[in-house]
Formats: sequence, C-alpha cells, structure tokens
Amino acid sequence: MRLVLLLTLLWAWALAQSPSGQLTVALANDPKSLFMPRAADRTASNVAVQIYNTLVAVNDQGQIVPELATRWSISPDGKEYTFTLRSGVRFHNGEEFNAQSVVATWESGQDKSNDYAGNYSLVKEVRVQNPTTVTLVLDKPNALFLNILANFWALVPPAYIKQVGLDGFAARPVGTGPFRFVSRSADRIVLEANPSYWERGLPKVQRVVFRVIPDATTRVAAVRTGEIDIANRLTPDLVAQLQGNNRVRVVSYPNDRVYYLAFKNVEAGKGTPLENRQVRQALNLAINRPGIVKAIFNNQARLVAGFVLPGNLGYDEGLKPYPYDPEQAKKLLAAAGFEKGFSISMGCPTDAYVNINEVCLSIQRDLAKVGVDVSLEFKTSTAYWSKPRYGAVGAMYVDSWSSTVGEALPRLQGALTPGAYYNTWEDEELAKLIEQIGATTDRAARAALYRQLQKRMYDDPPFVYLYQPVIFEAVSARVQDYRPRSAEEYFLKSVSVR
Amino acid sequence: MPGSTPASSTARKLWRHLGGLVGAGLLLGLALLALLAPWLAPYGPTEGDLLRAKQPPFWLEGGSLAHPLGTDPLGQDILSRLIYGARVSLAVGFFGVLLAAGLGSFLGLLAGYYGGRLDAFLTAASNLVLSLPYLVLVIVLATVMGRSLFNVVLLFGVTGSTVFYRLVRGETLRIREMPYLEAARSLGGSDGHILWRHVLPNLAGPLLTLASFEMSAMVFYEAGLGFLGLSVPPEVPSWGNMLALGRQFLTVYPWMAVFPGLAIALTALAMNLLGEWLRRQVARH
Amino acid sequence: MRYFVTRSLQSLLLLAGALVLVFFLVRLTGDPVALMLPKEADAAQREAFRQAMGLDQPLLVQFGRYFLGVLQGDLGRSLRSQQANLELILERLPATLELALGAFAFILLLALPLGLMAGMYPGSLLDRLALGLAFAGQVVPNFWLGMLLILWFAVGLGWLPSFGRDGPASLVLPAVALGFGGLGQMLRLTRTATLEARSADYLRTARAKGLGPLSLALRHLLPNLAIPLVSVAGLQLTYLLGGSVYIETIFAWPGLGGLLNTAIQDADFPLVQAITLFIACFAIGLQLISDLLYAWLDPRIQHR
Repeated sequence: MRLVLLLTLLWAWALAQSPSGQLTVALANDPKSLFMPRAADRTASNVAVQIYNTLVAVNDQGQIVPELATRWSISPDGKEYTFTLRSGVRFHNGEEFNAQSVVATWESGQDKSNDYAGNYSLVKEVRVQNPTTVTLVLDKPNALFLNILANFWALVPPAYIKQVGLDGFAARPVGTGPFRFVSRSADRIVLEANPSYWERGLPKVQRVVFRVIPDATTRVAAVRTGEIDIANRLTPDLVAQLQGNNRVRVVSYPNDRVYYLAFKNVEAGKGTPLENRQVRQALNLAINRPGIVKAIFNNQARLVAGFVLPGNLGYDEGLKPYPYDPEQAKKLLAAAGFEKGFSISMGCPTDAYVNINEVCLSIQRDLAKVGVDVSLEFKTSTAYWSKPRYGAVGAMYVDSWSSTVGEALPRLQGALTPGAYYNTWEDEELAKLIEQIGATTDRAARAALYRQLQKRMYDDPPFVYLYQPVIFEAVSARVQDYRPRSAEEYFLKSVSVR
Repeated sequence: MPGSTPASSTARKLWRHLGGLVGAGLLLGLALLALLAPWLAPYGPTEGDLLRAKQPPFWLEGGSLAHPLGTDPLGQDILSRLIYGARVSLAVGFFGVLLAAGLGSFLGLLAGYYGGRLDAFLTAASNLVLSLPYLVLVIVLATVMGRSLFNVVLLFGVTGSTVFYRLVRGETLRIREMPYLEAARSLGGSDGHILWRHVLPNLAGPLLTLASFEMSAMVFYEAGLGFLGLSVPPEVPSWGNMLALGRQFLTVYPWMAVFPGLAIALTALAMNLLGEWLRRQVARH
Repeated sequence: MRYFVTRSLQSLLLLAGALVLVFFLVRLTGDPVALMLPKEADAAQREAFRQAMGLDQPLLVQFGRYFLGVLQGDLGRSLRSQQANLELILERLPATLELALGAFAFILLLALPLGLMAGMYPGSLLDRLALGLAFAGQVVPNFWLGMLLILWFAVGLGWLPSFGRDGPASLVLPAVALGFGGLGQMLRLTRTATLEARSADYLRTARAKGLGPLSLALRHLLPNLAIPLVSVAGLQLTYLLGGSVYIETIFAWPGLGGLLNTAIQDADFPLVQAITLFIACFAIGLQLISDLLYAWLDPRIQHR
C-alpha cells in the first residue's frame, strides 16, 4: 500500500516536472536563418537560441556563467582561452557533445556564406587537448571574447553538419538546447521540448510555436484574441489599448539601443556643412526630441546624451541630453556662416523600427524651421544597409545600434572605427580611444576610458543622439516566468504556461 | 412612351443622366479642391504641432472643430492633407490617362492603319503586358523606378497605354475598311489627314469611356502603391501615403486610415459614374 | 484542333516574352547587390557575395545563365534566406491558391444568385441593389476594405480571426476583401446572360409549361452561364492573384503575394524576379486553359 502511494506520488511529481502545454510566440519578421552564424536579425537569433547551447552564457545580471563549459582559464597575455567541457551531453540527433563539436562550430561558423563569419574567424586556432578540454587561440586580446562566445558560438554536431552541409543544417538545425527543431513553414516554426535536456527540470513547455506576424497592429489583435501568447515590438499607442485587459500583461523594459541621426564626413558628407562642429551642435538643438518622445512615443522612450546608456559600463550621468532650443540653433548656424540655412539629404529606414517614419518626418519638419531643408530618402532596411559607409543614402541618416554585452563597445566600434563597414565619421582621437577600450581587459580602467569618450562625443557630437526606446511586449496571463533581456532577447526554457 | 406627360419625361431624362451629372459634379468638385487647395485647406499639408498629434475627429470625445477630421501622428490636420492629397490622385489619374491615351492611341492608329511588322510587334508587346497581373507588374516597376510623382505618372502612362492601344487598333482596323475612308483616300487625302479627320473622331466616344474607367483604376493603383510605400515620397500628402501611415494605427486611431480610404472610394465613384454614363451614351449612338 | 495548337503556341511565345521582360525589369535598377548582409559584413564579403551571385558578369552572360536555369526549373536563390526561390514559391503557392479560390467562391456564391434574380426581374428593387453592390465593388479599394473588415469583424465583434491561415474561419475575411472587387464583373455577366436567355424562345416555352422561376434558373439558365463564366474565370483569377499582394500583407496570409511584398521591401531581387516570372507563367497558363475550355465548350470560336 505504502509503495503504491509512493509510486503515485512519484508519478505525480514526475508529471508536474515534465514539460507541458504550448507556447505561441509572434515574430515581427520571418527569421533569416536558424543557423546561428547566419541568424542576422534579433528575430532569427531569438528562435535559434532555443535550439542550441553555448560554451558560456550571460545570465540575467549580465555575468558570464558556465553552460557547456564547466570551467575556463585565460592565459596571462589574454590570447588563449582553455575550456573544460561538460560531459554526458548529447545533441538532439544522439551525437555526443565533445571537443570535436567546438572544432566543428568554429569551422562551420567561418564559412564565407555566413553573415557573422567574423565572430568565428577571430579565433586563429582551436587546440583539442582531450575530448573534454579545448583551447581557443586569439590573434590579439579581446575584452568581449566571452560575450561573443555566449552570443554566437552555438555548438553544432560535427557528423550531422558534415553529412547535410550548411544549407541542409540551416533547414533542419540540431543542437543540444532545451528545444529541438520540428518543422518550419512559410508562416511558422515549431519546436518541441528536448526530452533528454541536460539541465534538470527544463524546459517547462512541451511545444513552442513561432508565428510570423509583420504587423504590430495584428500582433496586438492576436494577443487580445488569445491566438498568441507573447508579442513584442509594439507601439506605445497599441499597448495603451491593452490597459485593463486582464488576460494580457504588458511587459516593458528599456532596450539597450540608441537611435541617432548620423553624419558623414566621408564620401557624400565631404565638403558639407556637417563638417562644422557648430552646425552639428545646432542640429542637436534644433530637433524637437522632447516632442518626439512625448507625442510619438507617448513618453515611452528616454532622451539620451550619448552612445553610452544608463546601465552600460562607464555611463556618465553628469551629461544631460541637449535641450530643444531652435533659437540657439539658429544662432549657432549663423555663427558657423549658415544664417540662411542649407539643403541636405537624410536617409531613413522605413520598415525596421517602431514609429520610425513619424520620427523622420518630424525631424524633417523641425530642421525646416531653422532653415535646413532636408530631402528624405526612405529606403527599406535591407537596401539601406546594403552598401559600405551607407552608400545608399546621403550625408545624414537615421540609424540605431543595440548591444547585447552590457557596454557600448560594439556600437562604438561599428560606427566610429575608420574603415569599418558602417563607419561614416572619421575622427582619429575617438578611434584611438575606442581601440584602447577594446584592448583593456580591466573593467575599472575601461569604465574610466568610457567616461572620457562620452565627454568628447558630447562636446563635439558626431551624431544627434535621439532616444533610447522602451520595448513593449504583450504577454498572455497564462505565461509564467517570462523575462526578456534588454536587447530583446528571449530565453524560453524556464517559461511555463497554465 | 404613350401617355407620358412632358413633365415626367423631363424627370425621366434627368434620372437617366443623374449618374453622369453626379459623377461630373463630384469630379469637378474634387478638381476644384485640388486646384484651390492652398486657399481651401485650413492648414498647410505639413504644418502641425507634435503636441496636437493623434486628435480624433470633432464628433468624437476629445475632438475639436479646429481639426474637423482629426490629426495624424505628427499633429498634421487630416482634412487639409486630404484636400492636398486630391492633387496627387487627380494628377496621377489625369496625366497618367493623358499619356496612356495619347501613346496608346497614337500607336494603335499606326498599327491598325498600316499593319505589318510594326503592328505585329506592338500587338505582341501589349498582349504580353496585358497577360500579366497588372498589379504585380506595377509594383515591380515602381520598386525599380523609385518614388516620385513623375515616375508614377510615367509608369501608369506607359503600362496603361496597352488598353488604349488595343481599343484604338481594333477600331482602326474596322474603320479602315469602311467605304467612306476609301472615298477619302481616292480623293487624295494624306494618311495623316485621314487618320486625324476620319478615324479619330469615330473613336472619341469609346476613348472617353475607357479614359474615365482607366482614370479610376489609376487612382486606385496609385493609392495601392502608396499603401505599400512605393508611390510618391513619404512626406507628400497623398491618400495612399496617408493610408500607409494610418494603417499602423488602425485599431487605435481608425480615422487616420478611414478618411483617406473614403476619399479614394469617392473619387473612384465619381469616375465610374461618369464612365458608366458615357458608356450608355456611346452605346445609344 | 488547329485552334488549340495555335493558341498554345501563342502562350509559349508570351512565356518567352515574359521571361525576357522580367529579367530586364529587375535590372532597370543600378546595383542589384542591395542585399541583406548584416552591418558587420565588410567590403570583401560583399565582393565575394557579388561574385558568388554572378552579378559581376556581363549582362548577356547573366541572362544566358538565368535562361538556362529557368529551363531546368532553377529560379535562383533568395538573397535573404539563401533557399531556392522555387522552393519558397511552391511552399507558399497552396495558401495563395486557397485564398484566390476562396475569393472566387465568394464571388460566385454572391454573384450567381444575385445576378440571376436581377436578370429575372430587371428594374426591381433587387436588381437595383445588385447593381449597386456591383458598383461598390468597383469603387472600394480592397486594401481599405480589408482594414475595415479587420476593424469590424475581428477586433470589434471578435467573430473571425484577424490574421494568418489557420482553418476555414481565417479564410473568410481575406477572401471577402479580395473577392469584393471582382464581384461587379461576374454579377453583370450573370445578369446580362440571364436577360438574354430570358427572352429566348425555349425559355418562353418552358415557362408556358409552367416551370417556376427557380427550376427555370436551375435547368436552363445555369448551364447557359457556364460558357461566359469560363471565359472570364481566367481573367478573374489573374486579377485575384494580383490583389493578393495587398490582402496577404494586411492579413499576414502566408502566400505568394505577401512573399512578393516582403521580397520587394527587402530588395531581394532574385526572389522578386522569380516570383514575378512564376506569377506571369501562372497567369498565362490560366488564360490558356480558360481559352481552351471556352473553345471546347463553344466550338464556334475555333472558326473565328
């Protein structure tokens, strides 16, 4: 009798532990690829990340923690990283995880057809010591190397990837992650719980279905009708509609992303008034950013003073965002010799960002008031980012850059390192500072350098810093333990549904 | 009709022409709105204050007569933008049809009158264009050509010329064999003279009818392109652009999308009423 | 038989024309390497991509490759997803066919009975209503109607799904929005055919024999309608195929039209080219079938 009771209890406990229910998540666009080195947009990586594991991971507090590597050590020169690998982990297809998987990940990641090949090719050599010990050798020290591993090095099974090739793998990906791939069709991707996942008690839902719904309005409607459990990239206006709806919870958090109006002092920007510092300061003053934040984002965005955001390493809260002061802007323009204003073109990506069309039209209108005649070039995001140095657009353009590493370095490097693909502003002093930050592994020293950089970028602004957005997600009340991260990252393994 | 009084026959006549009258009246009104926009519109098309954004029409709570049809996300007056938007729609409709009819008729006359290799080539080309879903063709062309009013007019003018070509070529073929043309030819009339004086006038009725239907189609397609973000530049107040912007707020601020749609429907209604009436008039002769 | 052969040859020529047209259409633009490589990609990567895509070759060589590819059923690869275009298209085709046929069914369901009744009782209130409806179809833009339907029936009343392809209920709103514009043509056609048939002798005889209006319609009118119906079916379906670009975008319907719009927004030129070509071939094929059926049903046409 007692045994029966015990068994029943055990069975009930096991049942409670085993994954159950279906979670339906809306995606704002069709993910490019589920092969991590090709998962170029956040939507794609958000789906892909459920399928894989990485050697190390970033936790909710932004710290690097073990995942498939249980331990690691870094050589004194900062170039060699040695990892001890977790044993007993198997891929969804049954292959065993070991040092060869790290080699396969490194090799397949560098393939020329991959968007993010550079995040793999920065490792010059992978030395296999034994099946559970592996050393990655870098060309030069990199302060963010562990973050790159956590964000990109999704481990793949060597035999399978060799057998099906990269395209075949991207079509039917296999990892060690909490969910395994089931199917993908034109409008949905289906994953199911990995029954032999190595983290005990995870995942908690049996099925995850991602549905592609490009329209924010439609996404909200679908959450309201219960067709969708989680939807993100919603406008503040839409979210206001959900107030008082007890079936839907709104999650909002500031995104680690800066929106800015960028200038060129190369190519199309050469010889334009933008090279004049007073003109750039004037433009910072002339745009009604408080109005944009208030009216377009219903106050659900934050004005920013630079590229380093609150919460980023080395953030200087002493710097206050430029105010809206068209009169002062006119004075500065006059002092720079442009009292009659000037004409210039401005690029704007039409489809990538929430409310961006209104923001661009609004900037155009504000600049007209101080005599700067802006011709808008609306481009779709892919065309927009297709040419080096924003060759597809003119001397000014609206852009944004996010960061998943808790500091501003990736966006600083991308935008301000001369010769980088998306660099349009050359400033040697800034470039030197940024290089120095990248090679400084000591956090406190790096923070001090960031402070120095912010001051310099505030006084002689290479951009108009527009705002930091708040991300809105609508989450059905049946979803539990859902915690998105500040770069719109989803981790669904501990989410459960009622 | 036996027994009908003169008064009722006038009423009947009026009823018969009512559609045409209403259509013509509406169209005239729209044309006036478009031409006199700077004097009629309460605000400039891009004038506005962010702090007055997203206001509803006056009959809804929170609306005011300062902006009778409400404001858009940038605080711009929707009524004023609708009035200015008539300029884009009518310009595309009018000049697009003018180009289409001119080009199509010219080529149709040549092909129908002379026949031969030119005819074979032009007919094959127009058949090719007409065999594709028009919308798909227009979308792809608009993408490749880029956003400007001139490009849109050019695009509709050239692709739209195919239907005019087909009509004029067919009619010319038919008229060419008529006895009175033989007579004109034997009297020594030049080809140009014959085409201009004898062939074209016979085509006026069907051409006008086709033109009014095509105009309505072009207004539709322009708005559709605008809706997909492929027509005139985004800051230009056009009904399609307004719809595209309004669609993002459909469930929150429906008026931003409802009014431009109504304007399109009204314009199409005017042109179709006129076309329908013309068709009946032509059929009677 | 001769008609069948010449008509088929004609379609083949049209196909060849479409092939050339589509190739050059997409290349009217400057640089087709308007791609979806991420921000981090460098100039060397771009150049490698250009070479891999064969876009550094002379135009004629590119055309030759494209032509040979198409002959072998190879429509190239999507820049964005790197999947074969044909695969992407075929994956989406069923959804679009379902939508187009749904819209066509809506048209028939409404236009046939209304047109019949209108033709039976010309000048009646019903006739006026039917003509009004036909007219409304011509003046209401389908993309606007789609939005209104979502606003009323999905968001407002909550009766029907607002998006996606998830069972028959989800087909209703997009099919109505798409079909509404084609209603007029079919309604008028039915009405005219009914009017004509009504005055025909055999119907008078039938009526004299005491057949009611309903059995009249079913036994004599409907069969007569089949011929004109077939003649416009091809055109109607082609029109619906075009309209699907808007409707699929509005309703997040996973079909070809939505795919075309996404490809255009993404400047995914190989995919735009492939879809355009596919839709062109599809439309030409539809028209051919419709014409051949018509000729088969009505043998007079063969001697024209």
